[in-house]
Amino acid sequence: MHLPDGALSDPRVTFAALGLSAAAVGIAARRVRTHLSDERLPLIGVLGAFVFAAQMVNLPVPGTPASMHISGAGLLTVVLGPSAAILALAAVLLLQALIFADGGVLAWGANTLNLAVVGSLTCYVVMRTLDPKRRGGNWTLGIAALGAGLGLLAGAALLAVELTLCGLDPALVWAGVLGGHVLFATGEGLITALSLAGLRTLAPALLVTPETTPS
Amino acid sequence: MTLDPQMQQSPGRGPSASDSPAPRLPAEISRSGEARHRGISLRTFLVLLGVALLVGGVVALFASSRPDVLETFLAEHAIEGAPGVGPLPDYEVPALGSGVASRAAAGLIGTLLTCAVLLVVVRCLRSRREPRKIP
Repeated sequence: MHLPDGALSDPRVTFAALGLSAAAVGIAARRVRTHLSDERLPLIGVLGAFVFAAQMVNLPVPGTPASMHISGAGLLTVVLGPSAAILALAAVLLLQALIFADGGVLAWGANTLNLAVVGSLTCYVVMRTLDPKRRGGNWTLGIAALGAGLGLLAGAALLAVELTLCGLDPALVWAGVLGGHVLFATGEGLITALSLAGLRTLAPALLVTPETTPS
Repeated sequence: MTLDPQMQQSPGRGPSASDSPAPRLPAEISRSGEARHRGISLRTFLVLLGVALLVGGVVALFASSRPDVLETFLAEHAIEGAPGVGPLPDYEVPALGSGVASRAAAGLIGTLLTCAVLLVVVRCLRSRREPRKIP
């Protein structure tokens, strides 16, 4: 769900989203500098690369003529925490816009806000609320799937708000944009849980809480 | 609700873990930041990078060619976005045409580039705090 430049016809929406995203990425970068435990640092690179690759894999959405790819926000948030997840996804979206002509450069703000910021924070809140102890068992995987799916939906809802603010008919927007996403949220959750299960067999410690208090 | 037994055998654990007389409780690990000493091994790093390259270079070749949900919606409502520009537009290497090789190459380049860019960004962020080694 990468917006191309010009799809948000009202420049105020485009630039408001750019400002909010830039601020969020700035805060995320500061927190990665001070809060993330050292062993997760190289993981930002490989998991970011994995999410880039996974976003190339479009899957057909059942019952519609369209397809979707996962956002990966939930996966990154569970392993790296919301700050590193926002930073990594913002970088993925920037590379996609600048190198692969996928998503607009000005629309990077809205795309980052929808996919990275809202997706990661939603998943983080769900994880913190329903699995505060984070033992990395199957409960953690289930809650991660829920958080990832809800994160995708929250991002889609914000996308619908942005399109509505640009003057589109709300009924059409909500039906058209949210419809496909509701179906695909299950896919996002399942793929997130499967990826985390794979990661757990490789390095079980990675499923416990990623952020430490500043030292 | 116990930790996976493999946790005890995870590679790269600090020497303090093996000297400790009592088994660690899972909660202790997450609360005290003990996991800090359990860096990911080079092997873990390379396996994950290999999986990412496999997805970007091979699995992505089998991706659905249907338009995206958002793309479909925008087309239905005659909203035209500006066509993007970039050296590898639409995940293809122009010099290799638009076949399987071209798409695989673009996927591999993108995956490696993302990894490299993120490692550099994180290294720059951390080096301002204190010197640290990032593989």
